[in-house]
Amino acid sequence: MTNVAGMDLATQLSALLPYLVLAAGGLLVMLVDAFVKSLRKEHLSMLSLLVLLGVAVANFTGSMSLSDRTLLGGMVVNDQYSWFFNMLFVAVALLTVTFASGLYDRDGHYRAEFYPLVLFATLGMMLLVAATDLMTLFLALETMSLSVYVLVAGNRGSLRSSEAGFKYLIMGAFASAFLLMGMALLYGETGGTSYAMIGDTIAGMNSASLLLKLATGLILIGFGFKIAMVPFHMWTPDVYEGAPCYVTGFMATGVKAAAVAALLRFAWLTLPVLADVWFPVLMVLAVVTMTYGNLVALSQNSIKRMLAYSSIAHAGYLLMGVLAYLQTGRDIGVATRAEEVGVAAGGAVLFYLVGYALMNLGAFGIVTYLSKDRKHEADTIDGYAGLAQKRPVAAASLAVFLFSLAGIPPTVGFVGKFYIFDAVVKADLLPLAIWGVVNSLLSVYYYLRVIMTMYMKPAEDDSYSGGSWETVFAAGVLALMVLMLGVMPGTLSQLARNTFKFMAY
Amino acid sequence: MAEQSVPLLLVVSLAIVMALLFLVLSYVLGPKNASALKSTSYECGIPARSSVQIRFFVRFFLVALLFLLFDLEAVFLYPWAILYRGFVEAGRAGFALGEMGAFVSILVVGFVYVWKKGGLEWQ
Repeated sequence: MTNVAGMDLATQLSALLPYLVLAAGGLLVMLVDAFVKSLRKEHLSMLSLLVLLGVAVANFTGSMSLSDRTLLGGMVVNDQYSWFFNMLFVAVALLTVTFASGLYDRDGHYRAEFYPLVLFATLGMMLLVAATDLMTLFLALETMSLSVYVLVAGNRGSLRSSEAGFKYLIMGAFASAFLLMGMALLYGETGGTSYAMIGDTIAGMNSASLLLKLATGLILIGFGFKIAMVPFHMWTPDVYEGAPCYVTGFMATGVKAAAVAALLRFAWLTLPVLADVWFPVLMVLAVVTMTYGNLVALSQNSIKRMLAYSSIAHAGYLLMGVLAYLQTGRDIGVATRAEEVGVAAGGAVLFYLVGYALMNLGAFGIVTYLSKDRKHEADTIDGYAGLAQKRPVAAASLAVFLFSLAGIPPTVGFVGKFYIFDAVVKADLLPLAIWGVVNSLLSVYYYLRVIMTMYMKPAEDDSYSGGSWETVFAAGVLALMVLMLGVMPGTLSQLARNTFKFMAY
Repeated sequence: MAEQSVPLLLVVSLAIVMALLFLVLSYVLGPKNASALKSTSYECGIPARSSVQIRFFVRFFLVALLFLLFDLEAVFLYPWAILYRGFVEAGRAGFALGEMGAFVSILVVGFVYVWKKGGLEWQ
């Protein structure tokens, strides 16, 4: 009897099954935590893993049979783009839960609220990518962010962790304010919050109005905060260092991927305006972002801080891909082969996000594995001395992840960077590509320093020793995947390109 | 759009100029007889007894937070109640009721969680 946007409710709900399973699962974990006192807390992590597996199955079976679908009156869309990222986020959450549980085991003290928060944050990420309405976009962003604020402050009793949580909350609220102001202006200018309406209005305009320029700029700032783009990166080192290491991995991969994915969809929506007005600004910011991240990372002694600056630098590489896409709406020469360049650029960004998730999450997994308990994390690089003799598998995996982050073949990091630079060159932005390569060379130094410490220096008494097997097993699998995708990137790359093609063209 | 903003800009600039003018004037013209009594903080004519930065019991914070949470959520019921008639007339009462049901049940889960976890107990 209920007809919403021409589709009956049951079909819509079945298309929304992954989100529903995740939301209900999060609530279930909360209730189990509150009521079942006799249950050992380890079971919460099992339950969370089951919920996430359920989401993966629902996503896999559901979306394959459905084509692009606008759901709930245009609030969210169920397309290949959202399907692709749902899979990524579920994988990231699965690994995060595994890593955290290993550390909680060693610590002997479970933080039960971690599990529902991770699930809700994942839900926020999934909806952020699926959002096709400014309202959904904002709600999803807040669902993700609020959960992550609490996760960051999850090391209760640690001042650093509380400080990081507080800092992230304040900066996040700041970013949300920018985003909201931009959305309000966009609504004022186009008269609607749905992407369909905004897109139509922009397409009907001859030139972008002042309000539209301002609105898109403010929204870009909001996204800039989340992906740690200079000059909105100030929170990144402190928050990444203060947060528990498994949460840092979750943030650096999941939150960043979600923000970049949403940014890419937004860039597709407002392509003429962004290309017209914000392209030069974004170009300067991308260059500054990667250079700054790499230069400051050179002098870090804490591995989490080093990875934080490396994460800023990688935001710069990702922005290069976004710029290559924006170039299709700007340069007349490139516009003649807009689809070719755009698909190359968007596909490269998607591929890079997957690769980055694998290698960065793996690196944080090893950091988690080597941490004694939540209070003593394996943070200083000196502590990695002699790891190759003590823990050969962990050392080898970490070496693979760091090689991949530096972009050395045959790893997924190399292939990802290659695709991005290739797209940038295709978009006639050769200087940008050269600057990207120079930056990659620069970054090799600080990644190799850790590898040198692990392999060349003798072990000391206070070197890190390691923990539970499931963490190092998961990290080892990730390392194998990093290598495998470095050798055979074809399938994933094709999938990424198709996914972006269906979204944008 | 630019023409429309001129009166607004005029008002804003006039307000800024007036405020600055009076601040400067009172600073320049006003008599300055500083005394110890004048620099004490004014609390309804009663001498201040202690620092204002006292410690609160942290439970107050939790109670205030929970109140804010559930109170704000309840506010969402009002627009829904107003729109509900329209849904009934359109024959979609079940849909609207279901939506609010989902919303409230999420709220209830949160409430139960808080209760079970001892968030409502004072000690």
